Amino acid sequence: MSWTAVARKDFQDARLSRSLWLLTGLFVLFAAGMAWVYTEIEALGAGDPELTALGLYDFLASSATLFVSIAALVLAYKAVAGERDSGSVKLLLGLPHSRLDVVLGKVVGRTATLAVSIVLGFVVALGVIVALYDAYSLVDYALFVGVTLLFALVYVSLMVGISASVSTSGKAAALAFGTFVVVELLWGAVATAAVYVANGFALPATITQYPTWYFGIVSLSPSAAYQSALATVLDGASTTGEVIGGTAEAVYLEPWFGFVWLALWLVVPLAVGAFRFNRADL
Amino acid sequence: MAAIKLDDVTKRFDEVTALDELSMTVEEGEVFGFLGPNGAGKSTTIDILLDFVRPTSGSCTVLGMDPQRQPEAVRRRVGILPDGYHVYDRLTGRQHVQFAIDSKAGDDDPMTLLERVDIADAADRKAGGYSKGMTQRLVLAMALAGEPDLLVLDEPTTGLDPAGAREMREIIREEVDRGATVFFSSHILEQVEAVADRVGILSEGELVAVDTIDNLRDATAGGETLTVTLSTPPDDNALAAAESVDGVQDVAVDGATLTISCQGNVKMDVLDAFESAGHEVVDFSTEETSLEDLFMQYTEVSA
Repeated sequence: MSWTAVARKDFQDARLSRSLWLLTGLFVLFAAGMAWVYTEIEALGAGDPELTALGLYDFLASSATLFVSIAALVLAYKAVAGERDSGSVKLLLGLPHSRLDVVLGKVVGRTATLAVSIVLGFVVALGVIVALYDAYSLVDYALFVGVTLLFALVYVSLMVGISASVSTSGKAAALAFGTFVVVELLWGAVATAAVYVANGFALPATITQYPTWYFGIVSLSPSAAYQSALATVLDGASTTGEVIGGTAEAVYLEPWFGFVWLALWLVVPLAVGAFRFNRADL
Repeated sequence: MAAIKLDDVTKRFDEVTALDELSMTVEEGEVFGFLGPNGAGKSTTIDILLDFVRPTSGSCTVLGMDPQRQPEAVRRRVGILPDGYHVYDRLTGRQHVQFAIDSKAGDDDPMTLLERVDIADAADRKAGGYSKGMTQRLVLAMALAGEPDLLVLDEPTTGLDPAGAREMREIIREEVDRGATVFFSSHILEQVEAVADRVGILSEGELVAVDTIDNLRDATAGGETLTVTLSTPPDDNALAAAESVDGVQDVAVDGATLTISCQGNVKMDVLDAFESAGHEVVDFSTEETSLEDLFMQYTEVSA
């Protein structure tokens, strides 16, 4: 397996991307800002310090969701299609790499690149937390960062899968952005539309009458799955998934099922992309 | 064992037939020039050898292996200078070569390779700032990594000045002396003529000729081209006299200069014909039919 050589080269290359450093700068400000803003909000309510730190993760997770999804898109949509566009894929595949090596190497290389930014942002945010909070758990914080890195891997894999499945950067950009809009911005509407159709083109009167699988759809988007996964490791943290699905009973609404959804997002789009890339004429 | 063997390889892109039942063999240790105008199918052939594209029908082997079944095994032993490539703008020359070495699990020193292609002084500059010629040298250095058994060079002199082209030929000779086979394509005929043991001429997806350059020359009708300059433009009598000389095939007039293609040693007969028609010969020169003329004959016949 020579994907390690591809990953190393890709890391060297992608970490020099200007747009990545711009996004990283914004994320550092955002994460540190979130940690600070949360102390201000809590000061108004004077809450229990233990809960304070837990609620903070919801705050940080929402900024991480936005940063990771957008940064993964910017960083990875051209990973394979861009090399086909420019012709550098002929240098890459002129060397003894299989096409699967290229795809896997890209996922690992770009995830490593994004991980540097994420860790940087959260280290700065940790500084703010240490300075301003009375109680915090370093273990919880490490778990939070770890799950966020997993989320980054999943998102990069999704974007590399998209990139590998098309022949030009233009198509990859359209498909990547379309996917981002649907799974991040319109996902609730997609789930509602599914209920609308299944219910005979009418919506149930109240949300309690919605079918259980509606909550399943809502919870399977990458960012909902990320928040469910966080809820699993950070016992007690409230998540959107738990709030809306709390009353229904189905295995796929358990918070730990977030990891299963993440695993599917990690593997399925990448497998489709690798399959299509493997069959393509370059 | 043949270094490259193609059997009835056909490649169609949608409705366009890029290669039409191409069969040819490149022997181990030779320098094979693959000649043809742009769009003849040279790059498509190379792309098939490296498994960048898959043939519609037919089969091929590279160093005895099927590139479709064992693409990595093939590319481990092949150095490739592709056509229409792009380097990684943000990586240095040294990083590019190191990547090629790592990919082939080799132990070459990147600086040694960069010195061979004469861009060692730019090793730590980003390749995005390289000129076309430097980029071409860089990619050649990557191709040389790991002492390949076969070098596949697609239009290797693109972007090189005459000195660079000469260095390229020297490197090709060094590699052949080491035992490698070199397969290179070109539409620049002097390059092929200067270095190739055998040439194959490709036209519109079909191989129209394969032979040594000398044999190709013998096999074609053209022998010599005679250029004669007279003191005054020739009259019709003189032209008729020149054309009637045995062995003269064609006479083209441009003012007082005539370009005469002929076969056999008829130079003196032609000059005599002009003198007896009352013209004074100011200057004359002869040259062997160039590969370019051969090339034009072959590609025009099939067109």
